[in-house]
Amino acid sequence: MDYLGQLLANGLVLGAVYALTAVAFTLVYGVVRLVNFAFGELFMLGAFLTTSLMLPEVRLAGVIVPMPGFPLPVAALGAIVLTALIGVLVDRIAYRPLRNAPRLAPLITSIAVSVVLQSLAQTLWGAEELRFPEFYLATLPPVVLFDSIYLSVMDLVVMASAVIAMAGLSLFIARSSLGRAMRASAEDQTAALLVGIPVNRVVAAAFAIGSGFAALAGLLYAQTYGFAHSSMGFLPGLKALTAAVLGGIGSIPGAALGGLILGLVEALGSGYLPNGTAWKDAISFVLLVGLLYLRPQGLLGKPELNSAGRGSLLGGASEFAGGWLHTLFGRLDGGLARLAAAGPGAALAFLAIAAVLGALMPSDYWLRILTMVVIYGMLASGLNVIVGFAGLLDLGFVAFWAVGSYLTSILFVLVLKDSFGVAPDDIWWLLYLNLPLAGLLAAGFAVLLGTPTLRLRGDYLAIMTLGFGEIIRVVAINWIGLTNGPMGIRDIPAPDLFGIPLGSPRAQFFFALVLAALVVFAIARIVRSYVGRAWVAIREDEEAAEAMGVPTARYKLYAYAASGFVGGFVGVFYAHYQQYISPLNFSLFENILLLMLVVLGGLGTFLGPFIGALIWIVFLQLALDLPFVQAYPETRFALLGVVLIVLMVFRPQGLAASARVSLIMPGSRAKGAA
Amino acid sequence: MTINRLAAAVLGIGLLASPTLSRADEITIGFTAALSGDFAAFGLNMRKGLNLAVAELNKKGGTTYKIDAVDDRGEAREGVLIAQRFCSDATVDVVMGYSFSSIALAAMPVYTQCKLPVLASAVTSPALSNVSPYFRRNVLTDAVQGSMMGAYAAKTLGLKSIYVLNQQDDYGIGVAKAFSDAAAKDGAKILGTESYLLGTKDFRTLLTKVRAAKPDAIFIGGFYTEAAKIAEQARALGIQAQLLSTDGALNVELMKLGRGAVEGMIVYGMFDPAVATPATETFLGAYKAAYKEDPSAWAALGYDAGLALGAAVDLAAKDGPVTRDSLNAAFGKLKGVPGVTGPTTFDPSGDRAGALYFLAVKDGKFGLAPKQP
Repeated sequence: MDYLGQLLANGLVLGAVYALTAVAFTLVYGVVRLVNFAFGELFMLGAFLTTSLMLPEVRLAGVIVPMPGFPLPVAALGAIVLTALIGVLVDRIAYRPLRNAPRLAPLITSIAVSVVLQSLAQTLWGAEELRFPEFYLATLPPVVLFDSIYLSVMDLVVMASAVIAMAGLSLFIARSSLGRAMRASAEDQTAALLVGIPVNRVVAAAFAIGSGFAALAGLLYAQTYGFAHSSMGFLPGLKALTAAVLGGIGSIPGAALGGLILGLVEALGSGYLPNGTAWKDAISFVLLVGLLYLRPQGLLGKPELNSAGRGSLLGGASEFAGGWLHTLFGRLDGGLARLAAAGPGAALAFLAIAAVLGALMPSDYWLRILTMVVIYGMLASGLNVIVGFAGLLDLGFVAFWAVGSYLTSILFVLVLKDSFGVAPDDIWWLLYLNLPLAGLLAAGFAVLLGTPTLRLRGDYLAIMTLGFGEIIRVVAINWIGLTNGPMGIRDIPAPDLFGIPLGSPRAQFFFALVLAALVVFAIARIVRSYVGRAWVAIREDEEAAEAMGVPTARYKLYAYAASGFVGGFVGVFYAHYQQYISPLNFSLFENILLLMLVVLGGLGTFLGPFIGALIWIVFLQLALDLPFVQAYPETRFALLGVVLIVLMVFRPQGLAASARVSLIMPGSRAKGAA
Repeated sequence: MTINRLAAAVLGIGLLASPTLSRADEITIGFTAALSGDFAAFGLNMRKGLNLAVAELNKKGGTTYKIDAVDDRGEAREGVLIAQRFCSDATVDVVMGYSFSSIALAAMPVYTQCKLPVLASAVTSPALSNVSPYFRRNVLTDAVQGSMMGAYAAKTLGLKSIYVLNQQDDYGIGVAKAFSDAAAKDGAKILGTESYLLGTKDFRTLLTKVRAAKPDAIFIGGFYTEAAKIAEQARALGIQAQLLSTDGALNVELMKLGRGAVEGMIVYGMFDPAVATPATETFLGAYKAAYKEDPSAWAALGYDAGLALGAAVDLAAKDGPVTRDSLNAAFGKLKGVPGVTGPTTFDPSGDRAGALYFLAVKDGKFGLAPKQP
């Protein structure tokens, strides 16, 4: 009983924090139909601002800055207001220009905004945790219920503030005129605009309130666990999104219920399952995936919300018609389109340049970097199949990559070498067998994961695939018997062909190049076939495709399978190239990075992923030698984020939109599409 | 490079400011560790110690030393690239540093291929023993340190029942297993073992489970960030058990993050400023003058690694010009190089023998624990 009681108490505190953040997601989603991934970072800013305002001085980017040293309530209020302003600013810069843009654009900018805010916070406040300052309420002795359930006074404050804030918000939405305007905008934006509601101002208000809630949750979380840190918002942000979806995104009581359920399930799950603490993140994502499968609209949500993803994920036009930046992007686009029109010729030319570069490059270091470019290019190509060609946002692609890497590593090292004592040299051919085998296995996984997501659209799909990716990672970390856990698998043999070792950086580069040629050729063949046409039709307008007799479910599964196959295939080579893999290689950040590479190089083009990888990885290495980057290593990622936001705002259809494989015959484009 | 020059300029150590001197030989140290990100503290401390040793060696005259530092951000993927960078750079004679065993393990095949000797100071995984003829480290393995701590907890402290928590990675699992085995052998009862992921913030549920078992002590096999949170949340849940942790928690950040809650926690390390011997006096003085703080065990190990390198270079220089190969051979021949963490001699496996100090947090500072074995 004491045990259960304490677990319930722990779950309630956690649930309160999740619920508050979930309100932020749900409020903004309700009004603008946007999953603002950046709320996790606004949560973090709330924590940092409160902490900073409470201290007498703070070291910002290495400089000591005097601070007012406010008491907690004043600092909290200041932080909430500041964060709300930042939230409005983010909306103004990164989302408002994209209101009528393709649906993928604001999702990508919101991820980019997250990356920028997190990198900036780390640059400003440093890499170490910032301790939450002492204050009076925290020094009070804990409240002990029934002799055994300990709750600190602040725990009670956390729960009370959550209840008061949510009750207040519900009243505000129900009674005030701004609240009515919000409900009206949520019902139908165009109609709201027609009856004279200033929709942009209503949306700004939703962002302000949502950001304020995220900040409140963040500062309560920071004081509960005693710290602020630049990456602290990531996991709570995901959990809160999960809670919002659980409760039915768009519904405020739903967010409260979802947060509460998630907090309790996590506490009870980690309390009663063996080694539950290590597994608890998987518990919440399994809950999410299961619920989305059975009831996609969430517990209290309306079913029609799932169909919000009407229309093209990629098509449509930008709001900015003029400006030099626009012209610049237009030129770039035109150039890339001509390159794509050159067809196989351009691809062969690229291959030839890469081969010459590989043959002549004197430095092994740069050869390894180029190999990395080819690997990431191939992986991004795999992701491109599903995002760029079929128009389905997949945030769980790394899982397929992991499947391939783990299959070959487990076979070579854990099974054959460790259990049967077979020397890797004797079974060099297994690598070549593993390439297609891992591809098939990953494709199987992809279909397995794809099936339950078939009923989901746009944002829900992204969230569900994200859940899958995280589950695979948590399993890889904790199922030590299968994957050797966080220790990873080492001594994976370098590739070998008929006894000729291919371990040198140059041989590895050419190996990668051959695989890349295979991958691009295969993808090009499929995309140019009737399967590819069906994908493009789904991407451009799923309902129209369905109406025209395209069996969308089947072709979506093909897209998952093809994308999974590439992931598994490349994963095998990746393991043999690195000779060491661990779950750290397959984090969500890698998935985001791959997505950004695809967007950077051009969604739905064949060579775009490689161009994106080349630009980014070479930049990363060159930036290592810049003094500014050496002093502030995180700024590299901030820069990537800024580039993507600019790209999306000024060219939401992507860098190489005209180069994208389309349904329309090349000649008719000028008359037809926008 | 530039970071180094900046650091040197700021700290007033002119370690790179002598390019015009005519010199017999120049040794370039490739230094790599996590210098940014969540676990930067270990690497930064190592580098402070190494900088000091390098400044001393340069003052002595003869061979000059310089450091080329690269941040691995704690990512294994970077590890291989950095290893290749050092290998391809013919001026690099030796590689030092490393914060994470996994990264060193990923990088070692590359170093073995280009025959570049590595002398690491903070990687403790037993898997690194015998990993390559080019790998050495001057820190004890988790297995050795963990079992010393286990014996200390059971025998010296006389703790009867212990609950073991560990970070879910090679470091945490290795140290917790060695600790549990040694403590059980000396008569303590291990009530349970639970693992948590690096970066976990909420330990309340885990600790609720621990509280139900009523242990005398809790052993935390992990780093300071989590150790501080565990301590704080344990006290908030009314757990009064003795807290024990590892060299991963031996960091001043522990007290900044955990404050009152970590008071009394016992950790171990290979060095402590409180145990000043005549040999360590100069180090302590120089370190305090340069950085205005007491050196940590990691700084001491970085410093000793620098001294060991100096001794190896001198040894190798006796038989002609110093190359990567002759330097590697010289490391193997070193016998009892004096240092602040005791004498350094490398086994053929690349490991080194040494002693541990047990330290307790008292009034917000690490001091020698009242009971020593």
